[in-house]
Amino acid sequence: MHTKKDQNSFWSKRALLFIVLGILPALALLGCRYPTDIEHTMERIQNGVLEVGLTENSPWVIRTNDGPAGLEPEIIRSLAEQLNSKIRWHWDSEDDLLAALQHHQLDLVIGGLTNRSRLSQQAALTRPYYQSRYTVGFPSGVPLPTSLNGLEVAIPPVNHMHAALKEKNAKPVKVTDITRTESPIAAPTWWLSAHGLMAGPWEIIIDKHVMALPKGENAWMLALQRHLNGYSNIEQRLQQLEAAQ
Amino acid sequence: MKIRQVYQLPPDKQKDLDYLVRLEWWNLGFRISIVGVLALVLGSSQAMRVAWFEDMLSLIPPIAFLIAMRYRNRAPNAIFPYGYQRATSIAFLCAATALALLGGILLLDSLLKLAKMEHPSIGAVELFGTTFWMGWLMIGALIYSVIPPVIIGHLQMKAAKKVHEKTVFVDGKMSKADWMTGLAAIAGIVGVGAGLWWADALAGALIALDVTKDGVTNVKEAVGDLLDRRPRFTSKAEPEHLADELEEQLCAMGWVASAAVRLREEGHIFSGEAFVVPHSDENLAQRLRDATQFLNHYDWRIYEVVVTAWPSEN
Repeated sequence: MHTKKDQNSFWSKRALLFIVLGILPALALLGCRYPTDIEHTMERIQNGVLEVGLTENSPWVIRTNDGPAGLEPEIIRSLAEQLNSKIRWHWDSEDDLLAALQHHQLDLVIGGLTNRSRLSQQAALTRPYYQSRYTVGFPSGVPLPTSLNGLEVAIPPVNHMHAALKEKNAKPVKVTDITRTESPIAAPTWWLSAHGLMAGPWEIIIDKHVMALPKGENAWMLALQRHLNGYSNIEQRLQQLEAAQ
Repeated sequence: MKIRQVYQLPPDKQKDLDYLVRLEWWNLGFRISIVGVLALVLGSSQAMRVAWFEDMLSLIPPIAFLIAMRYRNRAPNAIFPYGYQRATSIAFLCAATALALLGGILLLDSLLKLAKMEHPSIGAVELFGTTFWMGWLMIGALIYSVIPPVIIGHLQMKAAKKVHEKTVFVDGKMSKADWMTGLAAIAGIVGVGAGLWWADALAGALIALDVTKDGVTNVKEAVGDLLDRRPRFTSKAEPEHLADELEEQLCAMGWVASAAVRLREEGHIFSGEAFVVPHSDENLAQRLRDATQFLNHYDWRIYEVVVTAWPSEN
């Protein structure tokens, strides 16, 4: 509007441009690692100790007398090997672990976590490394029905499928021991194949599995994400772990 | 009741206006694409979020202009005897208010994040089989978000000046300055990558401050228009000299002893009153009508100047 003001904003623009152009070479001098962590997690982990918090949640995390087992400890062990770091495992409740994560006492929390918004407020979540598809399974040899309309489907007493099944017009029936029922069963595909059931084509719900990191540790996040994206045969491994239970 | 005649742009100006309308459609299209592209890469970066909101807000001026264009050419009628040309000013005020309010909210939000010392997380993405830092993608999107507005903003300012379209002129001026906010957002992301937790929220706060400043400036401008402030164009702070020119023209007429003119802006055009003191009352009614017609054809921006006669002071 006013010429004087224009002059001022012109100079502030110039200043900003110089600041940005100044930052870039500074970063180049900063050296190899970009992005880097705000609290230097990656530097500490490499050739050092990785602090992992875990909650039991089979088959993702299984507590055995010989230490943690299951899919996620396997994934983390192979990453730690690459980084030449030792792992210190900390068993606790999810709530306690997430609080510790916020205070940078832990570098990672696992336990079959899924990407819920409550979690992302407390921690930085990886992208989903595996999606569990929940569907309805039938004993092999039984012909698949064309739809779930009016079909009685067995579900465990504690579940998060009830509403989704109702939406598909199925009749969810709570069963105390889901492995001993004759009815079709709603479960993830890997669970169904581990129990010799045939998975139907429906998609009841999808669980997107993630791991939780402290916020702002962007180099550590990138390293873990790279490792997760390169990890294959997850479905098969889950099936084996479930069958071994 | 005396209803105004329809205002008609001269043919060459109409052509300029048609070009401006086309330009605004292009502007809107690019802006929508920018909002879409930024939405795809929106992470938990505050600077990115603020830049995204700013781009969403920048959809309002072209939309408001295009909607107003539909209304303002309606002929004046018994209910709206002065016509509809001020529709643009109302649209301008609405857009400016939205800008000022949201800018304030974003500023508060960014400062809160600074105060809480939140560490922004920028994750990784997998694209074409390789996993890389999301920040690179965000910077790419931000660079895209900067280039079209600078070019279109430049064209907008040039075209808007020709047809005295103040709302588009201001919008173009803001678009041209947009590269600065894009750059600030990039600096924020680059800073986070370098391990500076405050860079992101600080960049967000700076962008929000700029949005708020734009909003407040525009609210002032729009309120000035609606309060019939002395006409001036946004490119300069000085008032237009059209009123003085009209006075000179009136005084040059033989029967006029003295003349005084005041003008107001009605959107893109001017209206007002001229008070003349005639030497004599001879043939006065006819002379007044001729003078009115002369003034109303003197400049294309003049819609209606009513000439009235006053007796001399002594």
